[in-house]
Amino acid sequence: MTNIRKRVVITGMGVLSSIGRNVPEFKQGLLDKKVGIEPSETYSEYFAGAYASEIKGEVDYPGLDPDLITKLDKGALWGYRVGREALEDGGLLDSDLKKKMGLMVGVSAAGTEAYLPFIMNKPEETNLDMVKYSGSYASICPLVSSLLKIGGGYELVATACTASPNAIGLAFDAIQNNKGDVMMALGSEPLYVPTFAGFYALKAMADGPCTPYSNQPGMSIGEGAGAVIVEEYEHAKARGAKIYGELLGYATSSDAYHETAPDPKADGSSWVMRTAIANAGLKPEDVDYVNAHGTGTDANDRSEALAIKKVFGEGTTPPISSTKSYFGHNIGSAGIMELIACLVTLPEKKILPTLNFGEARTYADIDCVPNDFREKDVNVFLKNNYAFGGNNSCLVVSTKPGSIKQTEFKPQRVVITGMGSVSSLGTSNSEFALGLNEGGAVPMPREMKVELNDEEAKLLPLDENKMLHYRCHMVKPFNARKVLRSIDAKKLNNISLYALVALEQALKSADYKVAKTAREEIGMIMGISKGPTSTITRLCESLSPDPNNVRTSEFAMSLMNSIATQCAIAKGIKGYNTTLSSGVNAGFGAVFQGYEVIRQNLQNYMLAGAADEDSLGFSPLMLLGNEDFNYENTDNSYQAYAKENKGYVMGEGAGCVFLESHDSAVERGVHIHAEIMGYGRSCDQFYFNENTTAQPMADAINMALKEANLSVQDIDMVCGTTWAGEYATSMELNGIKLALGDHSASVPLTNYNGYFGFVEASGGLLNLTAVIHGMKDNLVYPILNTTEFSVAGLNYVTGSVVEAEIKYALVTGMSEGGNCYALIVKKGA
Amino acid sequence: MNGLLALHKEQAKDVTSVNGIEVPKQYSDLDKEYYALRHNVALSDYSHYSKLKIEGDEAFDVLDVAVAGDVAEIRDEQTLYTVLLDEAGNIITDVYIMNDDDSYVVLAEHVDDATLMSLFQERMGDFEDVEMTSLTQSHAIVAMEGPYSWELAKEIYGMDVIGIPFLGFIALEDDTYLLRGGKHGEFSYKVILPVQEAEALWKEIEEKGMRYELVKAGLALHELTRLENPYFSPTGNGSVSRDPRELQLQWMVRYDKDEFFGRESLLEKRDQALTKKIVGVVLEQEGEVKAIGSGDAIFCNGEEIGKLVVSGYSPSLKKVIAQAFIDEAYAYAGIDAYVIKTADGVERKISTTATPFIKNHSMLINPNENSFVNPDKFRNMLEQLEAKKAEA
Repeated sequence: MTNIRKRVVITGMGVLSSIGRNVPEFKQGLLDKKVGIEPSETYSEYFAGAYASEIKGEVDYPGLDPDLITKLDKGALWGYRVGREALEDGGLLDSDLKKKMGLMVGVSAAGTEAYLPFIMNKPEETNLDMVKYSGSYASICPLVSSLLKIGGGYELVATACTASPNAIGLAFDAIQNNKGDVMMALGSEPLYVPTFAGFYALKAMADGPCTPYSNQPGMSIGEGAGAVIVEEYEHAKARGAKIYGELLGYATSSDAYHETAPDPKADGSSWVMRTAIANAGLKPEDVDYVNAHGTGTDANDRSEALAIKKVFGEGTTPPISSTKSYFGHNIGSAGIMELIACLVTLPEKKILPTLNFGEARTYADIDCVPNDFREKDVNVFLKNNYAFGGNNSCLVVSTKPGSIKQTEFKPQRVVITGMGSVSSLGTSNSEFALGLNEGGAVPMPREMKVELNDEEAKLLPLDENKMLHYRCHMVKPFNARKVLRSIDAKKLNNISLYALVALEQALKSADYKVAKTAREEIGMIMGISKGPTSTITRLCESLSPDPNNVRTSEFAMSLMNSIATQCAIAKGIKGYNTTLSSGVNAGFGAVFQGYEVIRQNLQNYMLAGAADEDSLGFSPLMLLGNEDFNYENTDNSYQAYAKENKGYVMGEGAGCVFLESHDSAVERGVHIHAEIMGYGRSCDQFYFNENTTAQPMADAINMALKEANLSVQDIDMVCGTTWAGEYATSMELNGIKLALGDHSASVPLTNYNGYFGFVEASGGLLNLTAVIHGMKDNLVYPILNTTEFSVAGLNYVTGSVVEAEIKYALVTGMSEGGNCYALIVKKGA
Repeated sequence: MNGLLALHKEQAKDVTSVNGIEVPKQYSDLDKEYYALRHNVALSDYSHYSKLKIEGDEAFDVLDVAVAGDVAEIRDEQTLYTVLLDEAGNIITDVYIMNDDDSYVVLAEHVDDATLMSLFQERMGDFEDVEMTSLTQSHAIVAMEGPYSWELAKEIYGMDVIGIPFLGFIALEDDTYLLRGGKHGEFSYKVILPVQEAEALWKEIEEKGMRYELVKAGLALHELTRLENPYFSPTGNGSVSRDPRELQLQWMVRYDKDEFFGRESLLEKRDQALTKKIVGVVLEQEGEVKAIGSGDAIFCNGEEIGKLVVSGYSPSLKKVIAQAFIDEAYAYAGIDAYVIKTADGVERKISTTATPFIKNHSMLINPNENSFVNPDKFRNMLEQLEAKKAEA
């Protein structure tokens, strides 16, 4: 059986840029060839000759309480603003369709503003409300979904400069899998000192507005936001929506080459174009125009020019231009804003020029559409974006929806054939299994000096020396070289090391070696929460007092996508590559998307992982107001789902699963640990008042059941993964109760966090791994330590291991922002 | 005799045997060969390198123990330049280690095939899943070298040549590799290929190289260029010491590796004070000086502080350059207070200097932007700059 891919169209747009604060202004700015890159007052304070494309002056936020505006960072506010404009433009602002609408966000330097006073050594300017609401990397997602009442669940793509086009790709895939008819994709990137300092210190900046492909190399940094409504075509037509263009397909990839520099052979950047074109069922000669990444730096432009020549042939390249010459490089939101720029000009038969074009650089012997609009009827165009870490992305778009034949795919059954984990239980599958059997690890005593003022310090149980004593499920020291052998582990931070060790195990247990001749047949998705906090801390410390002294070596490694980059480089994995930094349980998002890539037959093999390093010392501010943290400092104090909230004990580690099609696993003759039957995602939209409701979790579970084509009674066990605290516990447990109805009273329910701690991004994956280990022997391990439970009427597994025939397991989880995940797996052969 | 060697015997001025393999020592005129290497393209035969392929699941583990550098630093199609030490921590030879998808090709210039094989065999320890195959007789190495060698190599092997970083390589069809890496500071592309294919490639390069004013060269040229850009050489700096510290080659050793052959001895030595070091020396006077030679004493205020190790005339600097082995307290670059007493009894002023001695012409070339053969492009960055100035 083959499926015809749904047509996916763009039916609403919103933008905020230095050349226009809404789509009509933006369009006019483009047509007027307005250059928004100007000398920067903000950054001239620190950096000589600073230029930037900035959003200057006040920005209005229609529909928002002025008091609330002071509590949120610009990333969320701009996301709200462009999201609202896109909804309004799409006729959806007051529509019920928002309830099931998914939200895919792309960012790079998120969560910075709340901590900027600390980073810049001006603690007196700290805004604690902002720390509370906008203090986590992923906070833009729950904020935008809550403010705009978008309820279909979210993911946050954090692949630096390719983040927003990647987010559009995720929305495209969600529609292909019937997870919604209407999705929003969004990119929001306000500029802050750390990002400016990083690029400035790398000497990547132009000394005026950038001149992509001509004159002196250099980039211009920018800030802005963009949003698009991505919708199934028939749905859009039926409701009479305005249609801007059709998204024909996309691809992402990794260079697997270097942390910052693009592969000079342009293998990854050419492969991503070829693959995106093929995914859209087209050939290079069908492409009429390429909107380049075109940052203006020598490294990018040289490599991209080579990639374009490789794809289209020397002398036969279509016109290409770089919109960054108008409004600079907007990092996480660059791709989506550039897409919007194309969609407002190409339908008028005008190709955007590369502005500021002087003498073409020698390698740029391609048609760069210099300085003036080109009259041409463009149907199919590419939107290229490339990022630090070798992330490549390419969108294939048509300006004439319905004009290109739809592609087909044979839906694949997706199975897990490899697993790996790093946790306090150990660094191998056997140690993990043994740890489960032996009742988990004992959290290690830790202490930390807390630098807060007296008033703030009172809020924490500090001793007389301002020391905080707590427990943590640490990964025990291990000889990385022995485990990773031929990989240089010395340059890795802990989070990358854990991710790589888990990934290595998953590859081994799947009996798969990344073959040199097939590096592109395997891809990777990494789920991240706080990310490389040790590296981020070192980077931030180097910014004060003089941000010119920023440690450039830490800059690239502080990015959320650096973990996937290190893994890709170490193992030579060049296929589909993205990082989802959606916060707690981001590993679920990684599994969902990995599943989707295999299901649609876009890659042969996928690795879905997540990783965390101990981050408690990252910022003491994070501890304030966190009522869910456990300060008891005893062996058994972590009690998941307890009636009396004692809080969670944090853990560190990583999880990873190897995914492939059922056919492939059978052909390779490898053991199938489990089959993924379906998934669901939903969110609560209650970020501000924490009014818990069971509905979002129930929605996610029902969505997963629907895809799996199973009934409630088919579920043989449930594993929740929620950390602690009334809000999360209540949402998860009541959601399970609501979705499973009477069956919830009898189906065994467990939660394995007590075994290895609450490991933010990886917890879901570690629980899934534990479920699969248990399923093999029909075992459900008990919830540790909890004696009295907060929600009655559920069949909690306590005390001893339960033996039960398990065919289907439901694994659930939440993010700290109320995103609910449900995954159904079937026991393997 | 293979076809390529037959060709050399017919055409080259002098053929010599190194490691038991015959290769050209000098092709025509040394000055011409030198000029080509430093300014356009020279073609050389490096088949005398001993070549060993190491495969198997434990190939990495053997290499990890066998060499002083960290093989974990190189991924697929990357090369590590490091040294093999003996148990006393002394350098036996320098080696290139090429990672070809977790199989490795080792190239060693200063030991013969049997020695290279036995060095790795004695380092195998308990590792079993390792297979070693000598490529020394079966494979030749043909090298295009010089500031425009990338352009010639691109003509033959395509656009990807431009993207090969220093010490990167491309694995072509079976057991054929295009390695970027040389010992003279200029662009260098070595093709390691089955010996029966070498003659055809040599001829193709020669023919395509005509536009680049390519000159065929022999090993004698490289004795000179390696003086200008010093590398480990058993007959040069290696003749007075094999200690990586004294030779200033510590960068080729990774002390933080848990285990490698010679590590313990090296660590013991590291605890002792260093008494002498190799340092670069330039004669103050211009032109060639016949009387200078290895063993000549170097003085500071009348006190002998060291001896000259190896010397020669640098056509680029138009001066005599040398490496000297000097008392540690005096072994710093940028000092002009020393003299050397040459065989003719004359005391000549010298100054110590950092190496390499010369600024390589290849540093002025931007592949793809400059060109030797395309009249629409500037030859080098200097010309580009001058044209810009003139335009302004």
